[in-house]
Amino acid sequence: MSDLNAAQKSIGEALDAARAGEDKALAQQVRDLGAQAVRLLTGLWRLMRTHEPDNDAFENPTRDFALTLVRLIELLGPLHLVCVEGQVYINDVRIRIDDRTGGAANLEEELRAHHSGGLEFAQPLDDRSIRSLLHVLAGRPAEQHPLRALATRIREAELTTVTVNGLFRLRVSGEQTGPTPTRRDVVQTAERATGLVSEAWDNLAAGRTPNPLPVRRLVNDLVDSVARGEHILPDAAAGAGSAVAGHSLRVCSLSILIGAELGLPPAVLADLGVAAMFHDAGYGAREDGYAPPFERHAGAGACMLLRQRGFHPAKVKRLLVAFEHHDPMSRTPILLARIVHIADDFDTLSRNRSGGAFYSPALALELMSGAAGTLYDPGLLQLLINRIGKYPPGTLLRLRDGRTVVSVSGSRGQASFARPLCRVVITADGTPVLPGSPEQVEVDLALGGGVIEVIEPRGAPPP
Amino acid sequence: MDDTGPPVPEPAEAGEIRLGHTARGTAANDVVLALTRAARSFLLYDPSNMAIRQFLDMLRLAVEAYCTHHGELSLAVRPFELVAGGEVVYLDRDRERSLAFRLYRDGVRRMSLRADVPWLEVLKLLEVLSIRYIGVRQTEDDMVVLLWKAGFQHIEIEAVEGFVPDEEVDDFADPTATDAQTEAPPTHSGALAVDAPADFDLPAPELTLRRPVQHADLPDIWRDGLVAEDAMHHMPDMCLRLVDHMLRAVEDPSVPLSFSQILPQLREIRDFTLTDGQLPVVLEIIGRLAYLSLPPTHTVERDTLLTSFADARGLGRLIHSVPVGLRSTPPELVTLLQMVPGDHLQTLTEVMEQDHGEAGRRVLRTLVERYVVREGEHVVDCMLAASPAVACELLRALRYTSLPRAVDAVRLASGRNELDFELGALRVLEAAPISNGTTALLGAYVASGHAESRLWALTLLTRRAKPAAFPNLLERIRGLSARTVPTAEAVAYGEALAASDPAHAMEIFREWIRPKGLFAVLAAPILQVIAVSGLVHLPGDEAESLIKIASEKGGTDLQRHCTTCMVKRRRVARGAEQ
Repeated sequence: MSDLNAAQKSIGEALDAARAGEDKALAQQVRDLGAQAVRLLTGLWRLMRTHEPDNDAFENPTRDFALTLVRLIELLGPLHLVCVEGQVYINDVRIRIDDRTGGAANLEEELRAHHSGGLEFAQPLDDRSIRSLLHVLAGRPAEQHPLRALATRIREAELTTVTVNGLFRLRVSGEQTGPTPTRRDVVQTAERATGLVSEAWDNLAAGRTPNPLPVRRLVNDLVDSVARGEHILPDAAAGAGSAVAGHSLRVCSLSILIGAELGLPPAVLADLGVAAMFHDAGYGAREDGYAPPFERHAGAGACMLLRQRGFHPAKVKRLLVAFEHHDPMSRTPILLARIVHIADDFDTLSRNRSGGAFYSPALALELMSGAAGTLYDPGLLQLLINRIGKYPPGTLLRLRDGRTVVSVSGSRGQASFARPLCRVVITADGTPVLPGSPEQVEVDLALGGGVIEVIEPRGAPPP
Repeated sequence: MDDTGPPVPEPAEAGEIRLGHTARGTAANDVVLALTRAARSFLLYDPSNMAIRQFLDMLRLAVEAYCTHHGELSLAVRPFELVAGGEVVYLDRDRERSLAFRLYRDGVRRMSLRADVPWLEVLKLLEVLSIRYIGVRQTEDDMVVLLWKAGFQHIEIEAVEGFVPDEEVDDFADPTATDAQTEAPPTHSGALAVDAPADFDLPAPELTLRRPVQHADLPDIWRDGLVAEDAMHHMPDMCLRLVDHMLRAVEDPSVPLSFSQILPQLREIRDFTLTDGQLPVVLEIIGRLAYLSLPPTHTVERDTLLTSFADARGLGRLIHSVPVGLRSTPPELVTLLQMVPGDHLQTLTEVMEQDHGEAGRRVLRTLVERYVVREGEHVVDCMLAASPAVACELLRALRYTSLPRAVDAVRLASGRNELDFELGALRVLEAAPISNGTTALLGAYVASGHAESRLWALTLLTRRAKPAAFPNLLERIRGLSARTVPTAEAVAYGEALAASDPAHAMEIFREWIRPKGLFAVLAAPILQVIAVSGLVHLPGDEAESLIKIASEKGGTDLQRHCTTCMVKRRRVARGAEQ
């Protein structure tokens, strides 16, 4: 009976913890307002079939729909309404619609006629815009490419903040688009990640409650990719989105790499990834219209993250990372903050800026190595070094044969530590190689070829 | 653990249909029903309830039985049904109760338990299902994330992980469309992106020393040490660190963080540390908060927060976390009450009203005992207003700490007639010095509505042998109705009379057994039983002869009682001689 007692106690504690992590008020608000928005949208859509847009019958429901949109956007930021398999989701929250009113099924059916599965509202709409939108939606679907036609009509109606999406289907765990991830998959994931991170940042900056769940799902994907041994170095997303969102994504990926090398369990890797994604949240804040300076960004970041309600260990760690991710070793920052510190500084020193990167990734690593034990946890830094090698991805190398190559792989083991897989960027005769051209061949230095020098970027030295 | 509450698992309920046409289907139905009931039970009962343990046991047996005889259990999840091997093994159309509906709604489409699934994984699955059953929606995790985090090795879950564009009907991806037409749907809403300054996160660290890098293997022991740093048992310390950071930031005028902004997080940390029983950390947090330098506008908020560490909710959480085997009160708990202002006695009484198990009650009682000396009257007032169970605890605390105060409380609580309280009061009177006052109180309990109290009061009066008790006893006996007095009580009455005033008792017994006068009427049989019982303890031949007379005159029952008493009397006499 003792193991049953222990089980009972452990489940009881898990339930208590779950209750502590709940933000009942927020969830209820989203569900209530979401259900109201869907009901109003469906009702207005029907009404538009029988009335002209300027009919007085639209007055009240249009005003209510406008108000509901305002409140939802205040709460959640850009609104993603998705109808899929008889269910309606608003920003990933499933909305309970009374089936007797036919809300979910009706809306899905109406949208499906246009080959559409959902709408996005980037900003609230006024009365006139709502009527215009409904007029477009209630129009007869085009026989050829109805979705494209609908998008065109929405654009023509100058509804620039409304986006219409194609049909959706539910994605089941373990599902792959093909036998192996293709370049397109990687790019799509990178785009999805960038969009998601950018949106999370926008929401923080707009003073909304942080919603880590979508970011967490993305991070879980990244963790799974690492577990499968896939390449997740963030070069694909390097130039996408805002600078700060791109930085967050790269720091997140690097942090997960270090954590995985260390052997952290997947759940902790996920906490680490989400913490890394939000480590610089402070730069999303505004002080008199400007982003806070470096000295105050930790406090400002914590301030933004503190808007999320409900106790969760991951949130505590996330806040600690926001506070401690620049702390030297003498202040004994927590493990996750020490990891993010390394990833953060590596990216800061080596990322592309408008004036060029400060250092090549290889030199950034050597300089950081000089501060191991004082600024950085020496063991954790060594894990990064082991993983990305002497010439980390993105390092430009001049080879003995005169070609210039860029490193594209991390370390593939001790033997290839200083012999990465590279791609030619300048031929031996000095001709630049365009991406995708036949000359852009891969060179595996593990099979031969020597490095003469690391080419440093032309960017100004760090201030 | 608290074992109160319905101890018997619910039978199959309406809406839940017993299914399965094959042996395999029936066994699968058993597993699913056991899983449903166990998950739902957390909605109905306190986690420590005995009923839940029984549900867990049923689940374990059902899973073991299935896996032993049928191997892997693979369940396809439909909106209201679970299907195993093409056979519907669960059907419940009630949305509130249906396991299938909840799984489907949360995105689970298939669930497979391998034949060698360990019990711990089944429990983890149950934990995730229970969280959804109790209707909690966390901001951090949804069911898919929880299932992902569980890291099952022997349970496979196919779950919906969000939605993706349906490429089969991708209107935007038509290769024949023109560039303008093929404009892809934006992946981002187009809202204004955050535009941090180009030099964000600068200045870069000053790194002047360049050290060549090389591969180096790191020992496992080092890795293990680092991984352990993030273990859950370090969470209280992490909370304390976070409190430190937040308070420092609040005190730093250059950081745009106010006390109001950190208050919700402080409350969450308070609840976590209290629930987790992390008293040293709680005290550290209180200490830091107490010395926090705040503008006057925020001191009220701070003081309210401080008080809340020891309010009924806070202390309730703390007491709930007390380990079952704890015998003594943690000194930190005493310190906590000393550090935090408030009417703690009143709070402790309120917390006592909650159900905290024996260990929790013991801790609460010992805490109350600390208040008896200084606030004895307040304790008595609380006792008078409290529920029977809590009143008993408070009386017990008074008895352990100040017997005169406890006797006084018993006197004041003469109107309380709950059995447990009366027994508690009698315990007080048993321990109290003999006096006319306590004797009178005992006399009052002889008239109690509870036989147990009456018997004990009579026993105590017998032990005390105070003549002052005699008149009241006699009056009480004369008012007795024969039908309401069990023999044991009658015996106790007799013994009490004999002990409190032997001479007077002899007179009375004589009158009841051998009444004087020509037209004397025999006393009621019950009085004769009382008399014979009392005579056992009275010295002299007359006592023995009166017992014989009673035996000769009485009916069969009285004769049997007289024989017993005679034997007893002789044994008592032998004992006295020895």
